[in-house]
Amino acid sequence: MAAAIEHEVALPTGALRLTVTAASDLGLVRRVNEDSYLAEQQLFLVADGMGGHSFGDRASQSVVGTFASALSNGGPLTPEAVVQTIHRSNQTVVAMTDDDDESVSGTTLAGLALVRSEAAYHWMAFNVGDSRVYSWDGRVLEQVTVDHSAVQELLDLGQITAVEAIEHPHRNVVTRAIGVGDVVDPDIWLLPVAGKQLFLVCSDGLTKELGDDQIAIILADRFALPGELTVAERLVEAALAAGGSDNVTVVVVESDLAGASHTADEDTNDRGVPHHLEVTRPRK
Amino acid sequence: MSQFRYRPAGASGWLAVASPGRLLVVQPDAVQIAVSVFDRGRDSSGQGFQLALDELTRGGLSATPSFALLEWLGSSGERALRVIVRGGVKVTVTAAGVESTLDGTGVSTWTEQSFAQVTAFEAVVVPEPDSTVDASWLPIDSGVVAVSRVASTDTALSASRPAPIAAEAQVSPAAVPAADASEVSEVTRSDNPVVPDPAPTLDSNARPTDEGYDYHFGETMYRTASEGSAGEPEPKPVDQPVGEAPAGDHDGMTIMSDDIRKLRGNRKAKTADAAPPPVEAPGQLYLELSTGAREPLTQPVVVGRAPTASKVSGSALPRLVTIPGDKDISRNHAQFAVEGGTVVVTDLHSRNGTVVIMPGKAPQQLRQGEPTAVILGTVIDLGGGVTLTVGEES
Repeated sequence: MAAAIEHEVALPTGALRLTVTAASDLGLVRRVNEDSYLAEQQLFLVADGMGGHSFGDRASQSVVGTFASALSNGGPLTPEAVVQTIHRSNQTVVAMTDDDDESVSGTTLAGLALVRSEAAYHWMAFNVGDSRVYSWDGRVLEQVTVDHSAVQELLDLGQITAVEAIEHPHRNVVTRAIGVGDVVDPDIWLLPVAGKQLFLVCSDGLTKELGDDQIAIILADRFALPGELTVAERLVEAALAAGGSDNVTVVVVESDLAGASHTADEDTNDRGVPHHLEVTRPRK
Repeated sequence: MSQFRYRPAGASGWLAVASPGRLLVVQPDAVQIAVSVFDRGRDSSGQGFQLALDELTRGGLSATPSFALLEWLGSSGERALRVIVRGGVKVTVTAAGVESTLDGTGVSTWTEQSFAQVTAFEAVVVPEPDSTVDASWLPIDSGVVAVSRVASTDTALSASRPAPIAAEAQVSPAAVPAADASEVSEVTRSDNPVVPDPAPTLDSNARPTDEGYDYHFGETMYRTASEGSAGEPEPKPVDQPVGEAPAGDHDGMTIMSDDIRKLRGNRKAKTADAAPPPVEAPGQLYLELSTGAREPLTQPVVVGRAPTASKVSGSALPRLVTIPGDKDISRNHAQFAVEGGTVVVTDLHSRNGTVVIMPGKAPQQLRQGEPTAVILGTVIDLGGGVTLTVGEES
């Protein structure tokens, strides 16, 4: 049983305590685990390799390797550095397979990084493809990232409902991936670092087996786990019990910012409407 | 003799674009597409189908109009026809004595099917414009007309095809990638006259059209693991699930390596338009904060008490400028960006609003969420004594 990794980061606003657990499993159907993950220092990511016989596992491992070497250069991460590393890992996967055209591959990427932008620290979530980042505030599980998938496009267009999406024939079609094109366009979120937070980074092997409510129940019960099980292992176990038709990889990051309540937690004061500046509404 | 006959319709009619060996019927407001397909189709050899699809899907899946696209495949003796239908149009094809209908209504992407031994076809706009039901059939060989129906004439698919089509059939093997051409002929020669197609949607069609799809959807859509098509000796992926038919897509495979390879083939072409050149202002524009600090506007800047960013592209990463402490200011209060050399301010639905004071003008409150262009020297007041001034370094 892998124990949780705990460490502390000194931020200007106080000490940030991180508790990280991670788990990955082959699943019950696949023969190769093409998922890879990284949970080191202030960087947490999951890559779901694809391409079957053409070594999707190598693609996802390559992405994790590129990020690991970027981390080893030290210093606080910046959003720009993370984006650059995403581009570099894309080039690495493309180059890896250019020599031998038979071993083409690609991979999704979802991740969370503690980044410094100007003087402030933020949680940076990023994704390419259909691996996801969620946040859990103790009550509600919120999907942070938006999949790059055919089904998500249809959902956005209102042509299918969320329920239809679960069984949609195109549910495995991703519209962006690392290692497919010379240019990759990740989506980025920058979120405040505040109080107690929990983030979940996972491959689609988890989210295609478990609904948001099932994931939320496990996260809510994470302090009462049987035996030595970590919350990440518990999530993987539940996905296997639900079918385990794909590789399942989960990284759970819990953070606790010591000290006074953060400015992001407070509501903005209402200053009252400045009447002399009232705006004329456009006529419909 | 002409290839097609059609029933003319007025403004409510769809546009039929007739070219040698090809027919496109597209919804009436897609005039640009129709004209462009017609113009490009005339001087292309064998690539016309791809060019037409390219034109139709240019704006992405959501902007793609309803259409029916028909193309003859292979040599004239085979009388093979490929049909793609999306939206309110129905295509009826008589192949080997059997009549089949492809209906684009209620399909979220599009429907595609290939036929062999085709003797007749007809495309009908649904619902058919009323005023045109009694209109008489008129001939057309090549051109763009408003129609309610288009159908084949005997000439279109008979063994003695008109010269333009025969010419195109000869040119195409050289013009289309060789692999594509051979795959096409594999299907058209299959013993079943109609390509079996249990669920005629995007990913379940016969493999031969993969090349076309991937090319057009390169940026927006990858195919799922394609179903093994009849008689295609393709190596199976090693981790095909045990005991599951290769046709099922629930092996969790998100993408097929073949698709990646094909996308890669087109990668070079796409790269050019994938990265828009950054707009550089002549002088370096900046924001001067009330503290005296300067924020260069080389990338979007979000100002607020605890600013965040949500779903932004990696190529347009904003800089988050925190104004600490003042609770009059919202978490995400205002965004600044340079568009075409002009500074654009957007109030991000802040609680207390944003006021801009352009030089020599009265203060003006920004409408929430509405990007507003401001000139040099403009002061932006976020409230609580926090102001920003737009400046330019000479």
